Amino acid sequence: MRLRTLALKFLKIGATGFGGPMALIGMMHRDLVETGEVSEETFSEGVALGQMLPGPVALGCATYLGYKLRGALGATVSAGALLLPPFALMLVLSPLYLHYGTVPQVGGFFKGVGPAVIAIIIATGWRMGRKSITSYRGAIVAAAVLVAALLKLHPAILVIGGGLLGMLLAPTPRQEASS
Amino acid sequence: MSDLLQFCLLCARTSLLVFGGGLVMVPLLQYDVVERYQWLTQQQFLDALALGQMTPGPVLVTVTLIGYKLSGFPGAILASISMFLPTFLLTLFCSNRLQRLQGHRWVKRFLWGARPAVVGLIVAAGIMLAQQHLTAPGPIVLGILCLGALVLTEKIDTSLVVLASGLLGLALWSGQ
Repeated sequence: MRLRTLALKFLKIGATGFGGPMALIGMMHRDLVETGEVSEETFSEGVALGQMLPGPVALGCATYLGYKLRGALGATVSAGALLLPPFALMLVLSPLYLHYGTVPQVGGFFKGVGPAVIAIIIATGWRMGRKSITSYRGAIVAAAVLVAALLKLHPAILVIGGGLLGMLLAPTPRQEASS
Repeated sequence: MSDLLQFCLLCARTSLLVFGGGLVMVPLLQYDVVERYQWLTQQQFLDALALGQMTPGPVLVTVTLIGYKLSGFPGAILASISMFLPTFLLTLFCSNRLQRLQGHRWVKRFLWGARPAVVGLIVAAGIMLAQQHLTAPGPIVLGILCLGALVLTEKIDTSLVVLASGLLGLALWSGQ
């Protein structure tokens, strides 16, 4: 695929990809797999990599697909093109928000979005929990971190601590097979 | 250390810790941005998140606004680069090594603990934000409605949920 085509495809996804990570993944599938340019297998590898590594799943997937199509340069183009439209939009919105965000006429708008954002955060926690907490040991780690976070321990320490705890406590394949 | 440099370092660290999706940045950033350094008020942080949700693409662009608040356009650009470059480079580095990583015992064990930890963090952030913000009956009802819509319908567009409740707020609570 030509770099220009790659850039245009991801610019389009970046500009129209509303509605969270799954919506973005769906668009990539539509614009790259359903057109026959990327195989189903490569695409699932990209999603798996995005889910495994830190960072937005869609960005990880875009980076991997760009890499598979055109190497490191392709990865830079696809990731950059995906991020450029939302970044540019945010550059325009930031000064507008900081200058006019407290004007009473638009204050109501931000009073309205607060509850929606909080609901999205809780729903995301619920959805991620259903997917990633599969054993009682995992549930204990989640509960312990929840309490520690409410007690104001630093979140970065809690993520790394959770990972280190996993290295100590995760069941070995043999234990998994016997349980 | 200047605030912007400090924030860029925070973004770079967050970039390498948001396991499982961009929204994990909420607890990771809130602690330092709102409570420790008070670059933004709680309300501004929520507003920034709402704008990040309403714009297309990954919600991590929220940091563009925070960077802008700290030092204008250069701040916005530097903060965004700090947020996206580390995860991009890591992904690029791992693109060749996917099979080996997926089967790697210690990677698996690390993620086994980090994934539930991230769930605990997000839920805690949701609880704390709800306690501070959902104090009047109107916002409480709106929050419950949104949560119901999000949990019951798997495929609902989150940008649309934010926009719709913003417009509802505009109609109900403007000028107060």
